[in-house]
Amino acid sequence: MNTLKSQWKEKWVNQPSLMLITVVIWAIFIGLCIQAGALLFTFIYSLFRPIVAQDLFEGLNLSALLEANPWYYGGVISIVLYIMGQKAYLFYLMIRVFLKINLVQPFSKEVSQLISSISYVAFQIGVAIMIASGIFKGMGKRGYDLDGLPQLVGNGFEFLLMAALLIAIGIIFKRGVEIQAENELTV
Amino acid sequence: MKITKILLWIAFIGLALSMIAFGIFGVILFKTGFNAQEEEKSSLEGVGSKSRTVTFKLPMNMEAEYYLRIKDGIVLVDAYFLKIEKKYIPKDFLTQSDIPESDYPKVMKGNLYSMPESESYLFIKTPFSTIESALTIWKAYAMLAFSFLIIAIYLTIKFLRNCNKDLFFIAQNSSYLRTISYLAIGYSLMDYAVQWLIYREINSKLEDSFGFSLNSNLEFNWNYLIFSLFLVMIAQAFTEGTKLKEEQSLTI
Repeated sequence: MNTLKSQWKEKWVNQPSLMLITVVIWAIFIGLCIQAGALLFTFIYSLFRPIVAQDLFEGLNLSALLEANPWYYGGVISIVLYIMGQKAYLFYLMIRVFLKINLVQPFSKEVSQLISSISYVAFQIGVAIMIASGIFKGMGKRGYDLDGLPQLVGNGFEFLLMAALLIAIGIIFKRGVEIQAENELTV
Repeated sequence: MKITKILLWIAFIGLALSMIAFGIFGVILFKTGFNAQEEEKSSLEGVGSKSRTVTFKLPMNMEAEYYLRIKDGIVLVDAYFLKIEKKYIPKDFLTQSDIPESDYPKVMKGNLYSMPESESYLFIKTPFSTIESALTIWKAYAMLAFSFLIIAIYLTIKFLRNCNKDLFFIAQNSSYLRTISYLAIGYSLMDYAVQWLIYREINSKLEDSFGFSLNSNLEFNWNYLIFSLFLVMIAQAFTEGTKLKEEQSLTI
């Protein structure tokens, strides 16, 4: 516990800007967790009290869908919850990178693995959003009222672009780890 | 096949698609000006039946929509509507009434309209002048956003090209990453500014015409901002990597 505390203190002294960003990411991560938790809670509650579906989260009204087809309602919310959960996990991984990285000697196996994990999660989110958008469009054409659900999941293209860039960065980081190790050995 | 080569191909396809979309969108934008009502005016003489709906997406899940319905020579609707979520409109302003069956907005009271199948939205009949300035801001934003996207993809291609040639730690790469991150920061700030400007424009017009203001719910795109800050950090790491590489080559 004490080492963790001293690590934090050291980071604040040596890399204050990084730590400031980490605090912002923590805030977003907590916000995303609350968002996903609130939707999960209201979703389960709405299965017992359908009136709750009129305001699931920030005015999201899916009561018409619940009335029309409870299975579709469950499926749609599950997809949204999966995307929200993955987004929260992505920010959690970012927090870990910011805490682990040392800008004087940035290349470490752990950071490289974390960047690779972030790229895979970003790719999963991008694909999931694209599939979800297709499903929502199809359901909209069939007359189901999905309210502001497509806006809630966001745009998948940005996550795919992010994934593509991060995959390349992950590969380079691996090479960086090798070079840094070689340099240390030479010294 | 190297993974960087696959990524490079994906980036090339992305660039080509973005440029095609930019071209098509640009032509539509400057040729029509989005004034669908003006366009239709000249071609409506002697038309028996016609149906047209045009939609422009705006911030806060709002939409500017143009509806034209002509049946048996009678114009049922030929107007612009602002589609607004009911949650943004003060509750005391809303009093429901029975809405007759139709496929276009029907009057509820005054200038407020509702669509039968849409419970969460309200349609406000409005002249083109109300949405004109919002559309102009949106057009400028769309053009800038497209330009940012194309530049970002172009820089990504240059970065991936270097990686494909096994040129990982060079000064160019870190500057590419830094520029991409600054573009993303610029985009997230511009996105919020545009949302605010459009909201302010529409809100002031609604205040003048109806005497109510919309409850604001603008969204800041944190994803872009955090991702760009992450990239700034990675670019910094690349600068360190370049120094390491130089040291290594000097040692050898």
